[in-house]
Amino acid sequence: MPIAKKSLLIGLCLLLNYCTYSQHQNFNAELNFVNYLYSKQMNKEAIYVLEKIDTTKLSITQKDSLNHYLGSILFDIKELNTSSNYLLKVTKESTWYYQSMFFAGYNYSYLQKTDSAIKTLESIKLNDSDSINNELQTFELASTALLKRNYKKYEALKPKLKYNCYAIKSPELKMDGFYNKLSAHKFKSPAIAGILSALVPGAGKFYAGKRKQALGSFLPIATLGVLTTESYIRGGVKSVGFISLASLFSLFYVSNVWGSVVSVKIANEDHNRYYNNEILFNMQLPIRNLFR
Amino acid sequence: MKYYLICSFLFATCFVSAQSTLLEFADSLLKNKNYFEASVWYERCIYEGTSDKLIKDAVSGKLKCLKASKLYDKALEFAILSSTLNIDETFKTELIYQQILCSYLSAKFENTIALSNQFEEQFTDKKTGLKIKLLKILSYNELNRWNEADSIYTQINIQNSYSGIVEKLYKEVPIFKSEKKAKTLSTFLPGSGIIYAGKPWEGILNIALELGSAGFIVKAFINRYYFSSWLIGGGLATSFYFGGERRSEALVKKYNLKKSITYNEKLKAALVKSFSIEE
Repeated sequence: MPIAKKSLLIGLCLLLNYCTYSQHQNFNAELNFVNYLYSKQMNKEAIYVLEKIDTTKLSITQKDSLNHYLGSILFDIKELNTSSNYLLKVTKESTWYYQSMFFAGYNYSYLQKTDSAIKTLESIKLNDSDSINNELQTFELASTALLKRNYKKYEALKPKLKYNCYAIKSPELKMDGFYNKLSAHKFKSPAIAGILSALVPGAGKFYAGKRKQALGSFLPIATLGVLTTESYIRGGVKSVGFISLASLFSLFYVSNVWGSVVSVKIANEDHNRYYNNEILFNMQLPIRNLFR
Repeated sequence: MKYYLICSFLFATCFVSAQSTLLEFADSLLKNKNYFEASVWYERCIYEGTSDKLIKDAVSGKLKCLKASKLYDKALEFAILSSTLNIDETFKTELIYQQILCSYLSAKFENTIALSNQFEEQFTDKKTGLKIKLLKILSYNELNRWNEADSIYTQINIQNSYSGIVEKLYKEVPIFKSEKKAKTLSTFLPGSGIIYAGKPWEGILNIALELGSAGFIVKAFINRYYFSSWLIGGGLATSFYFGGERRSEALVKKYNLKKSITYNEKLKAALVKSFSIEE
């Protein structure tokens, strides 16, 4: 064989050697490995591999894929803030753009950063012909308004909903139900609870909807009242028994009033938390159905 | 033809050496105690591994990382999953031993005994067989089943300087106190259950509080404080009475646990020394 051909063959082998070693630096190979780790629920390991990738040598498409993968896996392990940071880096030209933006908006809603959620959702660039994504965007904005208890904004967005997309129709109907219940709900007043408990120990907790706690408040105060009265009758105002029992009675009485005020606040918070969880669950459903 | 063969040979060795570089890198991370990073690189070797030896080394390395990080549950899970890989029977037997070991380390003693019973026939190597027996005995000890542990130890028939200590310890199995007896004593004589549980001063205090409550009931009734005598005196007496019963049971439970732990620690130390000499 001529020397030139020999040299060419040896050169090819050396090049193959370099390519073989550099296969480990190949982006697609890294993603395949990340998919393998993700399928085995080794999410932290997958994040470690993705974060180790040298982004300076990646094309824009590859960076978009990287950011999308990181955002998605961080979303799965509930690190929503960091997830949003990565998802928002996905560019408009990427096929992951809509998915990333909607998930980022959802993350902010979940973290109670409703202003950031609205800003993210409103910044999604959509074509007029893209009816599904337009419907989803309107739905997510309306749901975020409901999270903020901004009923006027919800009423303004509701006419734009078409209720004709399979993935979004059911959550839309549920959201309307939540809106009806939330807007009609009258919150209980802590002041009224306090006054009721001052008049009848335990009545404030009964008003807050805590029946058993009301009985639990009433009985010890009533018992102490009886004991204090007996001490007063038998021993008079200056007796040790009367002073100690009266002090205990006053302490329980004041605690009962304070406890009733706090109970109403907790009852109101529980009500809000219940509906917030329902709203967030129904916000996530169409995004998952459409994009995962 | 000769040159084509040389080129193919070069390509193959380069490819294999690239795989070995991964393993070496993982080993270096393990050596520097970067267990999480090392386990990721070992997993990479398993994912990309083209040879059985590479996969076996990677599996062993990852197991070391998980055990060093005290993630015994994950190590057990990993050992079970790895035994489904396409590897030789010798290595599968080694993985079974790792399952038994990780099961013991993650305090799954019933599981350790079950695995040992199921697989101990597979261990033809004397050293590994002894390790399995030791893990089985230690598991029985942790479950307070000392008779069964003793019978296994006797069957092995170890004769060294520590075997005498082990035999002596198995003859001196601790006698535990009864929670039921403590409760019954407290029912008929308040405070006596607590004294039985090994806290005499607390028992005397309980008796004194009961007597005090009873005295208060009588005195208050005599002085015509009828509501106070029944509500305060009665309430206190009832609280101390039932509280004393529950306290006596809790104290006996605590006493028994402490005794069991102390005894098992002594036994474990003697057993480990006895088995290590025997190996």
